[in-house]
Amino acid sequence: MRMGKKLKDLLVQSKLKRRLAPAPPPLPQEDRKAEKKVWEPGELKQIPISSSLEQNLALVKRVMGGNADFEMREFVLGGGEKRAAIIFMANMVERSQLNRQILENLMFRIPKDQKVDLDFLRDRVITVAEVCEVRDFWEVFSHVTEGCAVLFVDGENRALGLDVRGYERRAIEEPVTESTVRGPRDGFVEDVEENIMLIRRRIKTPNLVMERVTVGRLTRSVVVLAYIKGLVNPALVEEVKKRIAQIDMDAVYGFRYVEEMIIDNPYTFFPQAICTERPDRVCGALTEGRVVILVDTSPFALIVPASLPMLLQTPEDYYHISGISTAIRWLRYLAFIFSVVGSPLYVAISNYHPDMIPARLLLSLAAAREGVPVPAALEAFMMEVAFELLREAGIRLPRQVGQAVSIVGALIIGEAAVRAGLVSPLMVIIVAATGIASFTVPSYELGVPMRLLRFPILFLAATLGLFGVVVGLLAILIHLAGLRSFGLPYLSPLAPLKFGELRDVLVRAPFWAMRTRPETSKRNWFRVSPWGRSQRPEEEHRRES
Amino acid sequence: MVREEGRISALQACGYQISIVLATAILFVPGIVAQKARSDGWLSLLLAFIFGLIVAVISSKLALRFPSQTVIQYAPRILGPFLGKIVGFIYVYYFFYVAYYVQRQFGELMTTAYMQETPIVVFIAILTLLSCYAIYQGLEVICRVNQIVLVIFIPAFFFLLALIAKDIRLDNFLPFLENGWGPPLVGALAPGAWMGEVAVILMLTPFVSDRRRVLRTSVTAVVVLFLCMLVVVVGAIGTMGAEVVARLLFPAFSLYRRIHFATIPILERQDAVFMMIWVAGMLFKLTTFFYAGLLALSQWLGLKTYRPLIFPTGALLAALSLMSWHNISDLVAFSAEVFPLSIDFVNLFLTGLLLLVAACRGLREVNGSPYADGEEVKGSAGAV
Repeated sequence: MRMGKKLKDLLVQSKLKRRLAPAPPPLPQEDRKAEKKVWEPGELKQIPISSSLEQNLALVKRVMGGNADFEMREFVLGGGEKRAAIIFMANMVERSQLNRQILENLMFRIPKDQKVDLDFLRDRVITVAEVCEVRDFWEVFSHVTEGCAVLFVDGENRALGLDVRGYERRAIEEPVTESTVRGPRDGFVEDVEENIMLIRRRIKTPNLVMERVTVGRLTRSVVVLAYIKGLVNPALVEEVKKRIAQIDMDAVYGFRYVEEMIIDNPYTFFPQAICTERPDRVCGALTEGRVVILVDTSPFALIVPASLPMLLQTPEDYYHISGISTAIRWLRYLAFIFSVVGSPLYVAISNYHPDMIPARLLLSLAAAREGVPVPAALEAFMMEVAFELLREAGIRLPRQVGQAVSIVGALIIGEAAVRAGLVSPLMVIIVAATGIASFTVPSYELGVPMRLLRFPILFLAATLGLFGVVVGLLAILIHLAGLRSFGLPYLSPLAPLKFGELRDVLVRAPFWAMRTRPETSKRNWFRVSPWGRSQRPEEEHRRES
Repeated sequence: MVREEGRISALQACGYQISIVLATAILFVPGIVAQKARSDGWLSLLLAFIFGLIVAVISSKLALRFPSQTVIQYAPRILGPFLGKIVGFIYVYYFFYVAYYVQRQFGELMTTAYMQETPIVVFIAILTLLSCYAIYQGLEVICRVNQIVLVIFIPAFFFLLALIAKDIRLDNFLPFLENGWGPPLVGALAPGAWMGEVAVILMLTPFVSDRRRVLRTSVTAVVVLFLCMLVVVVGAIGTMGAEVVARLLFPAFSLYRRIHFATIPILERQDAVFMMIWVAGMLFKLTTFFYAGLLALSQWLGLKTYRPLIFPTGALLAALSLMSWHNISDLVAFSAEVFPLSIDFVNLFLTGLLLLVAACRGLREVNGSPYADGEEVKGSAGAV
């Protein structure tokens, strides 16, 4: 590979030598040592582009030389003898565009005896949509490393950055972590531009604003802030922008890097921003007046501010009949609570309050526990740990091996352990039910803390019975009530109570009944025409008759 | 990010006022009322209701005279620096006094009714720690969680009681006025005192976002409390008879023990379920008093924040709660005889006195700017 590259370089060089005179000067001796020099952004910012093409190219070589994927193409502009060069990263550009719209035009489409300068090239010759002027070498290299091409022209102390970016992207696929039955099938991909497109396609208003920031000293990742002007609280946007601007770190690879740097409470298990790979969910949040943060190279978008009730909703809720959605939502709420207290409740009741259990059930329970050598609390703890181990193993392993794990888990834990008398069958049922309940929590980030918090509550239940369970729940509740996500109380609209918003929390009201916008958007207009309902056909019919 | 105290809505203030009374009242009031007034217990509650309304009106009127300050801050303005400081200290002590009384009640109930083997200090320590955690988070958080707890507590309370409604026998309320109006009046003392605790609005008003509604929230709180107490007293006396109720330590719990679902035998005894929601209620009863006391103390001392005081005070209260009563019968006798009068003294007498003097001297807050005035008083308080 490397050899081939060198050969190619040699070929290019020799061709150039034939066609062009004079050849670019070799690096001076003292600069050989200087090639080991590390160029800092601040230093590059200080170096303006000089009007001598040789000088410019020499510097470019000193900085980028030795990069296998760096390409430099020198040529003569058509219609004269003026020399120019274009530099780019070989694998980041769209070759056909570079060839046809830039090189071809520059070499052949300039009329003879035309006075050529950079403005003329930009305005008349180059047929690329995004072109910008570059004045110092920091800008040159940031353009090049982003995948743009930079055009130097002899005698100009400016250069042109040309957007000819083109690289392989993953195709838009169905979201893996949030699948729905009735929802759209497209999910975000790693490329932020694609993701912007997915959002724009859904919200077609000039008020949808996408602001671009670059974050990360080395990665210079593109972070896009999206919000709808007029719906969002301007103070929220300012706050988000301020916090993102404060991020100063080497690398930002995904949403989590941004999230952890901007959230309000660093010491909590609970997610304070919603991360989703569904564009429809993002758009729902935008129309509620929230801010969405897209990070390049991450197929997840962040929605702020987040609240607990929002984390328990799924996009699916809005694609079903409202009554059914309400019922499913409540099932999910109950499962959410059960995922914390399931096995602790069993331990507490069977240890401390056996009088609560009806006599017949108590008898079968006692019969099942007959011969189990460990106390119920330890039994529950062992089973919970085994469950967590199986879950973790199942995620990390390749799919084929994962099946083996589940078979082994089901056989050993479900069958053999019971038959060996190590655990009681009822405990297996309880732990499995609790585990399944935790998987119904729609947000993965929320399911994990609930499962983790089950262990301290299990301990409390084992030592203090039902009282311990209540104490654990109250502690969690106080903790949750104390959290804020960008100023929004985490439990809102439950506490502080906002009656108007409860219709999307306690129930999933039909769309015509969710008339006002939530309070995150300060200008609280109607989002459904207040007469929307009476315009429904059957009511008109009724009025007529 | 979050302001030290923050703002609470009128609804949340009302919830605070309900929580500060509810959890212990429903536990002890039926027994005390049945002891004093026998079958006329419900009449005692009516009288107590009127008493509660009076306290609510007096305290709200006083609070509205100085809407941007707490009673600790304006007492020196009304009574002069020296007397005002003394009255301020009585308020501070009152809040802490009820707080450790609540701690003890809680511990006694848990050890008597549920876990006889566990030492009482475990329960007191756990409840106090939870309470400290809530208070550390600030008033807004207390009110938010309190809201959620009340939304669960009150409906569950009524629902469980509705299950025993069929057992209520009306002849348990006879004879009517057997010994004249005397016994119901005496019986009204304790529930009246409990309802008088809504006077905590004197500490809350500066933080309520819609201060004009303070009177309405206090009255609402008294009405809700009256209904809750009425239901539990009528339920207890109606099902078990005044004689039995008077002898029980915790009539409400005995009441819940009677519940069982005949058709759906899911859980045999509902009293454990009641215990779960009652623990939540109790936590907020303690937290509301504890918070009010800490706030009062920090203002009395002229501190900027109450946070450094939380854990030392919590430990002190826990110790006091263990030392102050010998056993549960001591505590019950105290609840019936000493406690009502002592807190009536603060809630009715002191508050009434402050209102009277303020009205006579024509004192009220002059400017609308909320905190400027408070700073000034705090400064002068530091000088005393």
